[in-house]
Amino acid sequence: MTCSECDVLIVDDDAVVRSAAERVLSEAGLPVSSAASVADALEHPDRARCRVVLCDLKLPDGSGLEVLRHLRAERPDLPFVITTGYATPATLARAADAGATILLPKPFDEEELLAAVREAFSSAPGKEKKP
Amino acid sequence: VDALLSATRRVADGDLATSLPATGAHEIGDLGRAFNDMVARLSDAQRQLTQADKLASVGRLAAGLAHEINNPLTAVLTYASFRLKRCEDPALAQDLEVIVRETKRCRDIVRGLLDVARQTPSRRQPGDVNEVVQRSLSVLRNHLALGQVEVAVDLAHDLPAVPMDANQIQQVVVNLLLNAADAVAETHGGVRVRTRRTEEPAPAVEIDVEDAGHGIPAEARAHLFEPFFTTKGARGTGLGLSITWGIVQAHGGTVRVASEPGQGSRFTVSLPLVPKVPS
Repeated sequence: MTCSECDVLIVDDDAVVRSAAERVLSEAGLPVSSAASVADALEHPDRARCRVVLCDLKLPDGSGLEVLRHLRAERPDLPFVITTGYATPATLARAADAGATILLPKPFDEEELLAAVREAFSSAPGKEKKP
Repeated sequence: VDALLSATRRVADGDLATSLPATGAHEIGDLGRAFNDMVARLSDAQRQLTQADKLASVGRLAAGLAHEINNPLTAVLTYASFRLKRCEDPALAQDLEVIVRETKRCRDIVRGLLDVARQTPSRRQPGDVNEVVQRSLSVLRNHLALGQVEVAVDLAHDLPAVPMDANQIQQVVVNLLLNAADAVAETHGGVRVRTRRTEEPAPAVEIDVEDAGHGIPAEARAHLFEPFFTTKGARGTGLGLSITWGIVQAHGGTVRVASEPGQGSRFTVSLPLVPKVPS
């Protein structure tokens, strides 16, 4: 999915999770795009202009941390919210070490999702627009 | 000597319920007592190994479950909370509240299972067990006050620092205090928490959490640390003591239970000063 504007690029292989996140973020006034795999995310046209990436850790063709590493190589300040359904201390530590801006364990509710994305926005240097 | 020989054979065949009448003051009496002590330790070691095996299986189950179930739970929780916030129909809002609340309960159960499976303390540093006990009591202050539970605190002043993950040990003490508070809810008995240093069988710091509740029947005692075993009916998930056991085991320690029906229960957590587990 792409749109004319993109604030948040959602990367998750679960279509229902993607559409739930799209619904919440769109309602909050944030244009979203989405991808379902590492390959989709790395080829997505909005990867170069999105302001935050909301990315699942476990994707069918690899790890969300690969998406993080590749996109950060192009855009070092791009904030990443890493989501995971397997939030053990070791998993969370690995994501934090890789440079995740926010770690958001699944399942989350609307407020937790919005709070994580807002915090990610506010962490980006020199950004004036906030959701 | 014949009895000792026969008992040794029974133990060798795997019968760890074997014991000898250890009477008398001479060498044979001493030998009988030493034999019984050895069998008791073997039995305890076997119980711990069986429990570790069960927890490893639960760990594998939890990992798969967490991966598979947390995505559908995310969709349910996100949509339900989204709708609830915008709902103007009070009856529908009430239904949505139930969905949100119950989905969060599922979330807590899955997280509890992952906690059960956690084998390694994440941050183990020398720490003060008394401080952990005080912090646990402070976390539960309101809960204990609401239930009118009196807690007697008896902390040893000469405790050495214990290598531990203080947050995890706090979780252990909180779990035990919550159980103790539940146990005295009807009897209105008291709860006591105590710390002490021990030297036998190895240098350790022990925490006792004792309640004057109904006690635990013998048949329940055998299953207390199994995941999903609960004596609290729908009020408990049956994960608290499994989590407790997993955390203490990961610290190289043990949890002992002494309980008599009608007399209350005592849970003793023993944390070794030199753990035989990787840091």
